[in-house]
Parts: sequence; C-alpha cells; structure tokens
Amino acid sequence: MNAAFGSQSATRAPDARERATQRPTVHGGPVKRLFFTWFQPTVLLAMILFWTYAPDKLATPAVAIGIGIAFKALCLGLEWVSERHAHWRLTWKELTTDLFYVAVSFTLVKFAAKHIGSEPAIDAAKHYFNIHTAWAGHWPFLVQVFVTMLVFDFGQYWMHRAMHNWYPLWVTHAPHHYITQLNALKGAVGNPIEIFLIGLGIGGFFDFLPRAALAAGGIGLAIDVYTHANIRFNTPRWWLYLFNTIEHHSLHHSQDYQSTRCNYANTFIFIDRIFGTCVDGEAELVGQEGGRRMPIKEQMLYPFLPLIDKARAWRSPTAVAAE
Amino acid sequence: MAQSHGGRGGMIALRLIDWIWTVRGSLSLAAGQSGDDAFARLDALFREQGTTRRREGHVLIFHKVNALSQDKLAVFERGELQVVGGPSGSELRYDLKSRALLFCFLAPFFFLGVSAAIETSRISGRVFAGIFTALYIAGRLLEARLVARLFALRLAGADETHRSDAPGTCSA
Repeated sequence: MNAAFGSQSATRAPDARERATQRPTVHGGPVKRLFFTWFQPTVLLAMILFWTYAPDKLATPAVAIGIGIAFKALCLGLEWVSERHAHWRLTWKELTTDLFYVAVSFTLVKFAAKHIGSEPAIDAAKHYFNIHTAWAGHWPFLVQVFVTMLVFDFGQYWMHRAMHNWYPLWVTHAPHHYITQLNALKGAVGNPIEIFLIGLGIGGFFDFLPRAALAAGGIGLAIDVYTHANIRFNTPRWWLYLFNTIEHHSLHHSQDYQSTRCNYANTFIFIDRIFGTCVDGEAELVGQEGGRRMPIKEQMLYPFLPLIDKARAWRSPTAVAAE
Repeated sequence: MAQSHGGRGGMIALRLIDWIWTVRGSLSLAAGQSGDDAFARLDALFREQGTTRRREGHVLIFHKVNALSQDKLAVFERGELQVVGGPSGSELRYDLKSRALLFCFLAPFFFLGVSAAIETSRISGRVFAGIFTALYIAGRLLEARLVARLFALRLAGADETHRSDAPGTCSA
C-alpha cells in the first residue's frame, strides 16, 4: 500500500464510489465484521438517546467524564481487536507519553482555559455590552446540541487552518504533527499552548441548557474519538461524507507538509467540503521530518525555539553564524 | 558492568536508587555459543533508526536518540551488553538505562504538586498521580520481562513475533 493515497493522482482521480470500494475492510468472521460495521452508528445513536432522555440525576458532568474515560479505554481495547497498522500499535512508552499529555490537558490547560480562555472573555463581553441570550435555552434540545457542536467545530476549523497557514501559530501546532503513530489518545499530544488555543470558541455566547453542552461533548466524542484511533472499521459512506474520520485525519498527518494542509475540522468534515479543503483518502506513514519522534521536552519548548535562537544570536552572533 | 568513575560511596548510593531507571539481567548462552555469535544474533536490534552501537571486545554499548515507537528497545536510551565466561558456561549480562522509566517514576510527584497548587486540579492531579504510579510499576516489571524474553529469543535464533511491525505494510 502506498504511504498515502487519495490526495492527488497523476492520472484520473478515483471518484467517491471507487475510493469507497478501494478502502481496506475489516477482516475476520461475520460477527467481527458486523460489529465493526455497525459500531460507530450504534454508539452515536446511543449517545444521542442517552443525553436526550436520561434522567437529570444521570445527565451530570461526572457521568460525562466517566463515559469519556470508559469510551477512550474501550477504543484502546478495540485497537487490539481490529488494528489498522501494526506499527501504530500502542506500547508502554507510548501509553505513558500520551497519558502525560492527557494529564496536562486535564489539569494545567483546563486551569488556563477557566481563567484566561474564551468562556470568561465571552462572559465579560456579554456583561459589558449587557447582552442576554437566555432565549437560546428555549430552542429544541437537539438544536441546541447541534448548534453548540457546529459553532465549536467552525471555530476550531478556522483556528486549525490558521495554524497551518501562519507561522506563529504553526510553531504551536507543529509538535502535534511529530507523532509517528496514531491511537485513541494521540489527540491530546501536543504543546499545551496549542491545546489551549484549539479549545477556544464562542459556543459559550449562547445560554443553552447546561445539559446541551454535556450532550454536545458526548455526541462529539462518539464522532471524533476515532480520528486518531488505530481501529479498522467498515465505516459507512454517509459517515465518511459528514464526519471527520481516521482516514481523513491520517492524511492530515502525512509526512509531507503540503498534504497536511487539508481536513481541518475536528468533527464535521463537511465544513472542509464547503470550504474546499477536504481531501478523501488516508495515509499510513505519519509525522514530520521523515518520521522523527519528538520527545516531550522538545514538544514543550518548540514554540519558543525561534525566540531562543534569536536570543542566542544576540548573545553570541559569531557562534550562531558558525552553526 | 565496568564502572570507572565516581567515588565508591557515591557508586553505592547510586546503585541503591538506580533500579528506578535501570534494568539489569543475565541470560545463559547455549553451550559453545561464542560472544561473537551472540552479538551477531542480537545485531538487528541495534540497527534501528536513531541507534548507534560499538563493540569493545566482549562488550556492546549502544545509544538511542528519539527511538521510533516500534523499536523493540525504544524504552532504553543507552545500555551495555557483556558476554562473560563462567564455570558453568558463558552468559550475556545487560545493563539498560531508561529515561522513560525515570520520567514515569517522577510524574506522580509532579501531578501531586499540581493538585496541591491548583484547586480545580485537586482531584484530577491525584488521579493522574495514581495512574502514573500504576504505570511505573507495570512498566518496570513488564519492560524487564519483555527485554529478557526478546534477548532470549534472539539468542536462540527465534522470531519473537508473528505479526509484521514494519511500516509500509497493510494489515488488512
């Protein structure tokens, strides 16, 4: 198999039907194939039903966090049942490294978002301009959920696209592209500044029901958890058309930089289709600089390296020139 | 393994704690198996991207920089392997250093500090401290067993895996 296919072709590009039939499928017995064909739509439907109809005592942030952790763990388990690529297989070292980034997101980045993120800024702006949006809480529940997801993903799309097109933002996002394999935890890997920036959004502008935000998080998880997961599914074609998938996102992680400049949306790939940045296909070899694995220390320092280099040049111009 | 620098007291003190990031062990070589043959059988393990190695007689010393995930020795950044003869035959002794193990050992202290410093991370910081403690114990035991098994199988000339790990192959 080529390292990447579907991005460009020297001859006639295959159409959507051809690409769908060319995709590798789940191998195994009928039960396994049935499971990995219907798993994604079934979980999505279950998540919608749960967050719509669950009693209030169950629809809580603690339950949402619990579902998120359990679902990620389940996906890590499924990676061993229907694996996409053996060289993406999770090892103890990768698990430890990935969980460090997850832990940083849950603690330090969360703390920063609470105090200097978009939510406090929106609250302050609404208070200053005396804006009230309580009317939004009377919309149909699933409309509130969908608008929450769409507004967040729309903001994420443009932030992500900007990161690939403006150097000061790219240096915050580039470390995430140095991952050399994909698994269900890899979405958290990156410089904390990027994780903070990508979490900014104006979803908090509307005073939707608190439950709508939980539902948006849960339903979003049931779509985008797979985008970094090393799981082979027989993903339905309608799903590939609407949602971001491991196929789209692995292509976004291609080793050549130009191929990374596509498929920016986190959840709804149709946003990329609308703005002409969607490329259907998938890649197997991921990373940058030929697949160099970036250690944690360099991931943390990477956005500051241009400044560090300038400081070095200022302190010792001859030594830097010699380098 | 040969240690030529540092005071004796310092070396003893270091030895008391370096089990945190060091995996040591030994494996008996087959009767008649030479050091050259043993190192030849292990050689493929040190031909990975980012790995440098050198032989000094019966000692092989290796270093790794940014080892790839599926490098079977990715956990260890440096180490020494030595073939020594004894009354009951030759054996391979290894002494492997791992920054990943040290990092995982220290991570709980970092997140306990975070939980103490940041009120909103009080619970999550402790949870992750617990997770990294469990990960360290699992990793320290697992990686020692895996490397012993890896060396034993390679020395016996067996392939330790039936599944391809090579990039560029399609599993489907």
